[in-house]
Amino acid sequence: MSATVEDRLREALAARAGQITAGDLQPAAPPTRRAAPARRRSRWAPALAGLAVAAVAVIFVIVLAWRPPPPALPGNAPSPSPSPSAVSAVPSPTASPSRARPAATRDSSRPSRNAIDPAHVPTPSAARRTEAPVPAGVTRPPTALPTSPPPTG
Amino acid sequence: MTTALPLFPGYRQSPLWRMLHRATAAISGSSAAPPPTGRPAIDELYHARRLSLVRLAVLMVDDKPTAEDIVQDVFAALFRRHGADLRSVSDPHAYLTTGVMNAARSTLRRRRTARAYRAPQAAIMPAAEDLALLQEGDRDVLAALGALTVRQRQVLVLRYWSELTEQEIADTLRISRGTVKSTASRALGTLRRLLDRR
Repeated sequence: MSATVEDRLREALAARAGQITAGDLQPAAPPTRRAAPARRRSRWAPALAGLAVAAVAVIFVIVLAWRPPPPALPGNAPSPSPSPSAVSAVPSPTASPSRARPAATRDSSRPSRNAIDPAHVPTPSAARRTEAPVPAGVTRPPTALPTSPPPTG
Repeated sequence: MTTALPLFPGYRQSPLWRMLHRATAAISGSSAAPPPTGRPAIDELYHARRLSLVRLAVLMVDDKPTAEDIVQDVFAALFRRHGADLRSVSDPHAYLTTGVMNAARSTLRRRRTARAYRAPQAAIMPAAEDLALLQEGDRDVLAALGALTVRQRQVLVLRYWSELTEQEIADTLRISRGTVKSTASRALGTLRRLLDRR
């Protein structure tokens, strides 16, 4: 009995499937007909665009973060040797002329924005030379300028 | 590129080479080695399998327009996911059969859900001329087949029309072989009872 049902099922399925012929189908439309390369590229385009934007952003940040070192003043010209003499205001004679010359010429031609005119603003060392003598027993901080008013009260 | 690495003759088999080759082919939008016929592999598969897949879908969903839509959607999904060369698909035929079965199952479920929320209407049946061309016994069997559950119908169609083995049916439907066996047995019992009533 079971074989009969299976045979009947096979025959019915074959008969129903046999009613569908190639001529009954709609015209063939392979999936590649619709602009396949464009679709493949569009999958990668967002990723590539994101990578490009990220790369540009990184380069932009690096350029902004990197600033050239400020031009060295004659009094603060770094000495090539790390000896304590580098702290001195007078350029060391061992400094190479190629480095010292541009800073010197720029300062002589036009004053830099950071440059301090010794004629108007006294340097601490000059102020220390011109200020009144400190009485004995009174201490004064070495960085205090004579132009700052003394604390009252 | 082919003569760039003479000291490493097996470089084409290396995973790095395959990965780079696949990436460059995907970016350029074309495969470096087209099929010998010049037509993409998925087009060959489309022309070779379309009719049989539409027949399979018709046996599941009963009407030809829906069956054609299902097959077209399955091919479109295959192309979207794996491209035209189908190199990344181990068994495209099994992939298509599984896709058609899943889509047919979704269609039948949607129909049953719609029937539950709408006023009673005529069930989707084969066209009248198609039914007229069938013998009465075949019409009875097909009507009884429509009364089975979707899973039972899938198993019977794959077993008695596609002539798949139990293991192949299990792989296609992603169920266990024991489930295939029990489902087929139960479906045949139900079919027998329904046919005896007629």
